[in-house]
Amino acid sequence: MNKKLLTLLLLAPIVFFAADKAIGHNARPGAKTAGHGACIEADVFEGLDGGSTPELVELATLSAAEQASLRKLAQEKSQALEEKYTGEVLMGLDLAMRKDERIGVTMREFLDREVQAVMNSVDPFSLELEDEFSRCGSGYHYAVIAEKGALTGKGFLIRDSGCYDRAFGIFRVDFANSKAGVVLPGTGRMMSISDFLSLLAEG
Amino acid sequence: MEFLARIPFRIAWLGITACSIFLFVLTAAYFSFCSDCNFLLEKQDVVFNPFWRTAFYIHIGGGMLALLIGPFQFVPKLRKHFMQLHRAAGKVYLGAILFIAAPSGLFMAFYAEGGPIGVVGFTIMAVVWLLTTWMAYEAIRKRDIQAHRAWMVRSFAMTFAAVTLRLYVPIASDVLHWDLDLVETSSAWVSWLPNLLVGELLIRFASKKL
Repeated sequence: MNKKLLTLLLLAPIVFFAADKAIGHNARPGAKTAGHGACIEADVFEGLDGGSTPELVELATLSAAEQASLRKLAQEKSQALEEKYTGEVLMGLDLAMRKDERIGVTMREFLDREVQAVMNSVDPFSLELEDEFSRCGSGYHYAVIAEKGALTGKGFLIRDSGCYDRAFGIFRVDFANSKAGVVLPGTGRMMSISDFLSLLAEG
Repeated sequence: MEFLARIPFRIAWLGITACSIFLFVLTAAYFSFCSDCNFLLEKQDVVFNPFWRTAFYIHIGGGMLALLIGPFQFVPKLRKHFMQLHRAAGKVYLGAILFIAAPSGLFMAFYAEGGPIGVVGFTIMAVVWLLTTWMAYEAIRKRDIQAHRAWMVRSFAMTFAAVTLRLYVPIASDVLHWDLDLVETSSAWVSWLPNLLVGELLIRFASKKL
């Protein structure tokens, strides 16, 4: 083995790295840049802010066929969100959770109780937290976009897999009436977060 | 007395071999080609990059071979009674590192966590791994057995960094509760520098027992 070969072995990775940078591979198919956040925020949350909060549809009161139909829809919407709202995109959004002064104590307590606790309890993705090797940890969290003093807000249900976040649901929160629910786009219907999570869990 | 003096080395060898085999088994799980399991969860920013992903599988494939073969190359009785096997296994070990695991590890180092300090740490680690292994090969080509043994100790100390890294990170983050950034940055150095130091001590003070 000569020194030329050694040099080649050392230089080849650098050449590949340069080639990779030159090609500019996307980190993930469908991943958007952070600057794209504002546009898709308007797109996905259209109709969720302000106005009157739709009545909550209770899953238990629906027929088996309606439940199956909603389950399919919920799972499709959730999957579509996961592909669209990766950690990178979420970082680009102006999430109130990143700016604590915009969320009052009462608002936070409400969200912790009605959103965070429910996600932890239902655990729709059956995350095996103890078994996951990660420096970042895994679990669930929520992120909201809400102005200080606003009566309504909107937000994401997010699962953390290791160091990677994926939004899997969007919710509307009505602070004035103490209601939080998941809106299924295109249906005009809202269901409780626990109902939505149980539909996902059944998948 | 000679037998007693060897006991600590045998215990250490058993521990190192057990850890190496354990990591070999753990790493084999990646060949299910999952994109969101274990370490890959932390690399979701590059896991769909075909260059990085290819380098990852090349790296773990070569690393697994080196981890599995490495400890047995240090068993004196195997060397004495099965020299042909030692040579054949040695060629696989050297090839697995020089042509497979170290160059791909060097490529992956450019995408390492821990900022510039992390990237530099893993880059130097990959280069040192490649160079120590290359020196081991050069030494045996020149029939310089003593130098070959010393460089092989250094080479395997670097190979064993895969184990040290996976011991260090959970201890630092879960037991000591160190800041995540500190763990990521320091792991690029702590995973291999102590190994190399222990290797140097062995070469200087216990070379006859190797």
